[in-house]
Amino acid sequence: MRANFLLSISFGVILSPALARACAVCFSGDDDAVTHAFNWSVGFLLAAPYTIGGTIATCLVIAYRRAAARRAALEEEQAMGQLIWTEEESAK
Amino acid sequence: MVKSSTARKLNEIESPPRLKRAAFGDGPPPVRPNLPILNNARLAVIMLLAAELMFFAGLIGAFLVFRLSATVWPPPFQPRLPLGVTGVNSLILLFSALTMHWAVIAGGAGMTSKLVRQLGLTALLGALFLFIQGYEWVRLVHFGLTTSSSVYGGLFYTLIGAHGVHVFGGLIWLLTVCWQAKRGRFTKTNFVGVQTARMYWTFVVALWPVLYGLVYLY
Repeated sequence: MRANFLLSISFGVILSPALARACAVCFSGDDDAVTHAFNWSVGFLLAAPYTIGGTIATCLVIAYRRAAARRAALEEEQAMGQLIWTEEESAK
Repeated sequence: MVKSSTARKLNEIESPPRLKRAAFGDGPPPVRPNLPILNNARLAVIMLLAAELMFFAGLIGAFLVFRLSATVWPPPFQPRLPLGVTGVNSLILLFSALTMHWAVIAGGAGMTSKLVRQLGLTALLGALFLFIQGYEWVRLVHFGLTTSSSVYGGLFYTLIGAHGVHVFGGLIWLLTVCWQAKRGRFTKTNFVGVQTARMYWTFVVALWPVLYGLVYLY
């Protein structure tokens, strides 16, 4: 009985969302300035984390590539140093 | 078995480490230097700046709601913001980013006296920016623009005040780094403290034109 009552209320809310006040900022029409303001603000706040995260990821990728290039250059330098035949090594 | 191991041990002691390395490839591979991709301090500052950016994004989002929904902006009977003086003040702050950049260059070159001088100049420009901002704030309060006078005043003091607090924090950071540089803390190869201070100061400076454009000009 209680389950049926809750189910009927839920169904009624689905049919009439205005009763539930599901959207806290849906208090004006589509062409209202407040609606546009909220849309722009929500759009800005949605884009912000992706922009910041993307920028940081790009910086990390650039830093990784630079570090890899530095490491490769260092290894190449060490390999060249290893090929030099010294007098001490010739006596080994 | 014991004899052979003893003999090998003696042989190893006699031969210097340089001779043990093979000349043409036969032998253990060379140890790869484990260079860090990014310094931990710089990574921490990046995370801090990401959080700060989200904080200011929230404030700007709130500003956009009130600004775009208002038919008349600034609201009637509210004082106008000083565009000219703040524009000059913006140039001062932008120039401080340049002096900070020169400080990092000096740090990389190992020129300690120039590093201290440029850091001090940056801190001085930051303090001048704060002083002019404070002077303008006193005038605005005198003209009737307070946090409780209107949404306009509340938004202005919240946004610009939050930035001012960050400039003040950056100023303390700069003075600390300047003091450390004067004591010879930084070397040509290790001046990450200066670099992290530059990251934070660049953030503070780069944020200001956005806020100036939004709050003062838009």
